[in-house]
Amino acid sequence: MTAAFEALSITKTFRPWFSTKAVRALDDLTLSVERGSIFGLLGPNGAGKTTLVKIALTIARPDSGHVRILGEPVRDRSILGRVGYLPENPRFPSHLTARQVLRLYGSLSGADEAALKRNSEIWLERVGLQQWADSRVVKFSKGMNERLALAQALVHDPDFVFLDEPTDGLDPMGRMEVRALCKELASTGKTIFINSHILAEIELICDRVALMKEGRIIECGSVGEVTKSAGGYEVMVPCAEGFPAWLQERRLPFTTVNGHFHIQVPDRNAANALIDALRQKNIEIEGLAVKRRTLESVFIERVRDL
Amino acid sequence: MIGTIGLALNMDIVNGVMQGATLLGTEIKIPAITVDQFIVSVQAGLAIMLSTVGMFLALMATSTLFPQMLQKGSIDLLLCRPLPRWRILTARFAGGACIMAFNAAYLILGVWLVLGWKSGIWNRGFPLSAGLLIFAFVVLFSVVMLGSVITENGPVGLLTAFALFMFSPILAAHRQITPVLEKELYRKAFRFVYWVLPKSAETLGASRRLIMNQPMEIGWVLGTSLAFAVACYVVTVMYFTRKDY
Repeated sequence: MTAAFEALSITKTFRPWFSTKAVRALDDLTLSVERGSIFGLLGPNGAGKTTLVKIALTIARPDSGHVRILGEPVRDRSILGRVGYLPENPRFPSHLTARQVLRLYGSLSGADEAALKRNSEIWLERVGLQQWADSRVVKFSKGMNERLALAQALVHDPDFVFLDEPTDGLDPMGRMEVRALCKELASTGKTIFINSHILAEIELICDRVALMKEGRIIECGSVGEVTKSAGGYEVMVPCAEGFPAWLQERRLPFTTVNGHFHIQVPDRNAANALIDALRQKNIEIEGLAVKRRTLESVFIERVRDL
Repeated sequence: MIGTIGLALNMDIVNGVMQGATLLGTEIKIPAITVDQFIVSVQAGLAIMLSTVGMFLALMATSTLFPQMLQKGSIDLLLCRPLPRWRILTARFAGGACIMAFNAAYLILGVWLVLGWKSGIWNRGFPLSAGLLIFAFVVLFSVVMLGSVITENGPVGLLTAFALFMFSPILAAHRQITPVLEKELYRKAFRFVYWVLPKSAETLGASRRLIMNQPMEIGWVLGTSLAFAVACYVVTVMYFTRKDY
């Protein structure tokens, strides 16, 4: 089965008018997303996340490389009828009602009238805007606007959905609903591609994540893989006299917790070497743990490192 | 509103000559003219008002259409659809033009019907002048579109259109101005500018002549103005279809 999303060697440089300074937003970026998965794209501001999504939606054009969605190149645009998009800070024509917004954007995506009529009602109810269906969107709060934007991204029943900061402006209840919705959509075979700064949200719902910095993917894998690889190992031994000096000689960081030393080592080889050394000294090993970090700590470390 | 005023107008006509008139019960002093002259004068006066104040208001009212569309968060929602970009832009342009065309036609036809019903004078030139008025608007609206889309700034497009509109009476006087220019280079440059830029003043002047049943030769005026509008449209579409948002 082909991937739901493939970006192949995408390069994009922005050259503002009247400026000699060019900004390379994407640098030979290659990325693939499996069908039916929830994929999270992370990165600091200016990493190129939104540029990648805009190139995928033909809102911007790459200097080189190409994007395929659901196996079809986006250049001919026809595939965009099967794609939903929730942009950051969406704006709708202020004179339209919520129902009219869904009908308008659904029809622009090529959905047929009968399906659109039915889906509009379903999604208005699903995002909690049924009682505001005939209210003009100019009266909507930021949270209501965000809910409506989510509904317009899904009203034409797309197979692939880009969500740019989907929980921005939502209360905790709304965030939980969005997470549940993403999981539900993925369970029906739809692919969800999320851009977000809220790493805890990504950690909770994404099957796979990619970290971006300066237009390149610096890490990609499942949340478990990404957090594990960066976490290292922790060996626990009982406190003993003279032992701290022994650890300091070997430059091994440790903490003391409840009468135990917790010694941190960066990888499996270092853990094995430490265990061998401890056994030679007849020191009992109380425990060994693979140290997992949060996505946020990995993100901060990786972004600082490069 | 003008239709209501027309309904409140009562004319005292004897043997086709205006003897007096009252508006909302107040007597209006009118020189001894035929009713035909009176109606044509009212229609020509309305045409002048629409050609100046009306044109300014229409351009102002529609100048926000493109900047609103180009706002971040709004343009993204349009460009991510399986539609060619030229259709999105053309639909916006046609929408703005249609709104103003409908308003102008509604006003002019309404006044024409009321005055015709009151006086029995059915001047065909008046409803036809709506076409010239709408044409002049569409030409200037294409300038608003070009300026707004390229700069993503509504006032720039609006002020460019206003500048061309204000400059058009100077172009209209080209027959008087060109001979008095000192050098041949200046005369050639002025003729070039005349043929390239839209001739709003001449188009709107033609609408008054149409109302007053006077002769007019505006084939070249309309043709070159239309060519200018088409050029604005093509440049805007080319820019819009290539631009990264």
